[in-house]
Amino acid sequence: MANRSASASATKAVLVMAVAGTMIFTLPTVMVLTVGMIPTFIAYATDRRKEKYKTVSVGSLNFVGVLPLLVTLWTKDHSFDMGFSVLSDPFNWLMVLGSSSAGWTIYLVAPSIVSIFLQARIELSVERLKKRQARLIEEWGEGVSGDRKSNQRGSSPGDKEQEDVRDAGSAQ
Amino acid sequence: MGTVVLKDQFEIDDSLHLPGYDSPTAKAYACKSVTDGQSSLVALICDADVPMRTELLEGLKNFPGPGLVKPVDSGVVNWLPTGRRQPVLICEKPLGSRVFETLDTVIQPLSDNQIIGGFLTPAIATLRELASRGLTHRNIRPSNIFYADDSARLIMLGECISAPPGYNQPLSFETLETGMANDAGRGMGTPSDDLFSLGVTLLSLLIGRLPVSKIENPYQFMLDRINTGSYASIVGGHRIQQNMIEILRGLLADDLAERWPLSDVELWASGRRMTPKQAKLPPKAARPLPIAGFEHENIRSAAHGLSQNWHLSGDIIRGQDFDTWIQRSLNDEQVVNNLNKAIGSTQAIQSAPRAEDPRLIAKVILALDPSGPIRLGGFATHVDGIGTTLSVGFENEVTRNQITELLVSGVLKTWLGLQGRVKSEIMNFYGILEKVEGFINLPGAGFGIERVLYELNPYQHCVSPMIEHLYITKTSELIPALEAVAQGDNLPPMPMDRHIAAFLSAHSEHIDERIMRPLTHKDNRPADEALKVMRILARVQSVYSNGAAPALCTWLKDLTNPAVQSFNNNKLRTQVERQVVQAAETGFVVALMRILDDAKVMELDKENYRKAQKEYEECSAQIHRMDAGLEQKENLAGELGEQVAAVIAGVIASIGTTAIVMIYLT
Repeated sequence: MANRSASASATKAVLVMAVAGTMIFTLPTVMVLTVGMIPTFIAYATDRRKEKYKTVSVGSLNFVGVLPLLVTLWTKDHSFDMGFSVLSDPFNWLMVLGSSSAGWTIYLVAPSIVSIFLQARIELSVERLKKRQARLIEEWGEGVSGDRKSNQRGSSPGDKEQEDVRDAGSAQ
Repeated sequence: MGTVVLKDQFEIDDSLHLPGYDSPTAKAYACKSVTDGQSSLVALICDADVPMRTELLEGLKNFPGPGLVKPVDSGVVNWLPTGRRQPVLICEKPLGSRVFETLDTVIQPLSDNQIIGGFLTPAIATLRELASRGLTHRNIRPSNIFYADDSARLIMLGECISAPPGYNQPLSFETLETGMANDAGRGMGTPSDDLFSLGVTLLSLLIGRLPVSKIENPYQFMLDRINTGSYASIVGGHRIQQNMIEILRGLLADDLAERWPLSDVELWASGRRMTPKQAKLPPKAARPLPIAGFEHENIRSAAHGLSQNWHLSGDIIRGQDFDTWIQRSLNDEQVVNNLNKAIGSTQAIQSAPRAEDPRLIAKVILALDPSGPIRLGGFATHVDGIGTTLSVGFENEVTRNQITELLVSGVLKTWLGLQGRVKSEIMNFYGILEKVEGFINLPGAGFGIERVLYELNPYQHCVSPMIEHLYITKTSELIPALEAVAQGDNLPPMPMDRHIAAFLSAHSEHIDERIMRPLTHKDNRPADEALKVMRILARVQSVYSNGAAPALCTWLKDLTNPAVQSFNNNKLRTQVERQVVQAAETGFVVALMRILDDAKVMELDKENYRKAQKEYEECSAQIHRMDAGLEQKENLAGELGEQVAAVIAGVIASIGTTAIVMIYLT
């Protein structure tokens, strides 16, 4: 058990070192990515759910908006100047913020649409069950619904007469 | 009013009453044979409350000689004057009139020759024929003898079927043994009892009226007869020709060994004469036994005294005086032995609880007078008269209780133990009594005192209040009778009661305990009771195959309607209702039963109903769950919507990323 934990910690350390190393060698990319993904960071910051659906929704489309900037950086000049130049282009910002707002839109609209679908499905099921109950009543009478008084007839032959006798007795 | 036809053979004119042929328990009407138009018949419409001696009809077939009014047939007719069905006895009509119109009638005394040739000779021939057939008449009295023709030369005995043996006989015409019994409990007796009645009738013809016109105190009359002898008591101060004294002494002897048999009477009638013997009186005790102020000097007198003073007898038999009287004053070894056999020692009497007094008294009386009737709790009957006593007095609760007590008291066993030789007919009857002892205290329908009534009286009609007026004597007539009841307006609660159940159990070999037993357990659900009844009636109808009974079926259909309504499945119920209506219309109870008595269908219906109830419940639970889900749909849709949004965004991002990469690479 102890060996397994030590091994996991070691793997983690190696990964952190690798990422950190990579970031040191790709600082312009890191800069553009960090600035471009700000909507995602905001979404992450406001996402209270453990599963981070909001972050995933906004982040994935935000990344699509940032990706052309990164590709420009990588294909033209991977430098800070180029990074600042890309980041200073308002069209690029329109693309980044537009894509992330699309993510926000999907995130905000989806529950309503799902709710409509859910309601329709539940209502259909309830309708089907009620129809089945109506058929049972039609076939077996009101007693099948568990109505105590009408159920007495069904419990055993002759119980109805006992009720009649009781009724007659009380009438007297 | 008009004619009523019996068995398609006899036409009875209910407007033509023939009072001259009435009997105390039957009214006579004109009757003629349909086949040969013969009108020399008389129809006796009998009292429905008094049992007839129907069993005699077979025995009296082809009865020879002119000495008896012969029965021709019997049956039951719808009798308009009373508005009910009544038993009828068809007899040959005597050509002459009744000798004594009533018991109070006074006639011109008959001469010796008229009596011997016209009455005694044919009567003896009749009694001999009856004896040879193992029968007794038990209805010989002046008001039941007829002139055989208008010439008034030959006298014939009247019919003997319309009432129980000895039932209509005045006390003076009965022997001591039968006279001490209640009217209905006198029993079939022996030819010797007939000879005694013949003797008193002969005396009546001789003096032109009844020798004892009115008996003010029957108890005192019987005591006198016991103490002074019947001859002295009945003949009394009447002047009798010397030649007649001999036969009267012979016929009116109280001691059976002294009473003339038929052969002696025949010899006397043919001319043999002897010196009249003095009547032998019962042996006297050294000192009398006082009971209720009367000094009893012999054992039969004491037995009679004890039986008639029931409330005092307990103390008397427990007293030292009684023991001393038996042991010392009476000096009769046989009586002591009888007492030992019946109740054991004196100490046994004294140590018995007071509640046992009636049984003890009955046993003591039997020990003192074994040939007398069984006397218990104030009533007296011979063993073969128990059935008729119950039949005549069934409506009286006291009589029912007395018979019940008699059957369970063990007194009958004592009676049998004290008898010498017992006739086979009586032994057969005793066998039935032993059998019914097991039924009498069973509470269910088909048992109890009602069962006893029908077991002891094989020809007893069913006295169920609902069909009594229809006078049915055979179980095969039950379904038509119930059909007639069902056609009426006021239907009883159920086409079965204790009487019908007992009547069926006792009189039908096809209805056994197994079929009747379910009625024992009273079900408070009328439909279940009706189903039980229906099973029995279905059996009766199928056994006797006596046609359809649609009204009865409709009645049963109505009674079992709750059972039909207890089917849970609406379709099945409607189907059963339709089938039941169709079955009722056929008039066969068994068709109804086949539908309503199918336990498998009922069980399946119940099972399916339970399943349907469960399914309904599950549906309700699901609906409830869904309703709750609908209320919380925002929560559910929130999480699910976010998931969906993440998936959609992920998918779009993947496509977008792939597209961008491909654009920049190409």
